[in-house]
Amino acid sequence: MSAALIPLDFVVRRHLLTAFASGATPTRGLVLQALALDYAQLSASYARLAEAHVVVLDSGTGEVSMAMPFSAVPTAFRVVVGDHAVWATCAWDAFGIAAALDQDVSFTTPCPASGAVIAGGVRRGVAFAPLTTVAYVGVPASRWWDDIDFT
Amino acid sequence: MPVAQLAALGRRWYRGRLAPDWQPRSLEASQALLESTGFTGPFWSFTG
Repeated sequence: MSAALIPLDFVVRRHLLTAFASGATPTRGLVLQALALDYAQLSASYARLAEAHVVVLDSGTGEVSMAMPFSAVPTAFRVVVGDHAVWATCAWDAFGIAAALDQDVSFTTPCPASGAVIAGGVRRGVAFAPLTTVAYVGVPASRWWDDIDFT
Repeated sequence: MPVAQLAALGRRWYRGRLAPDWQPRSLEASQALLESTGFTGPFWSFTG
């Protein structure tokens, strides 16, 4: 997490997060148009943001696949925020979306062990989920970014 | 980990993430946040 960000990166990052929060998927084309950037400017900004672990880029398309806590691609965590829904990258981030947006959220996710549907969320600022629910983190923190898609 | 602890981490980790004055958190600050939320020990160490 050593990349130096420049002011443009903060603008790009905020645009991405705001778009994801609204339920949109900010493709390069949409971001270029919205921020009146050229392709090289945006590519360089994406590279710095990825190096700083602020976003994750799809290795094939170069599109933003994650801007934590949001995911651009479907996951097991569909989070309802107000009248729309967004994808969270994981359980941690599903709860984190409530904090990032300062809004209540609700989500359902299948239990990886039993397949049973687990309902969780944040209501009036208080997290809820079945009392017996536990979360499993299988990768030590020092290796989270070795393969963030797996983590 | 209990889900309540995970929810607390999510709340603390992402609070202010869309604030106009957001700045990236240093590795040291992230480590401190984990530890203050109860995630301690080698497994939760960014430096291994």
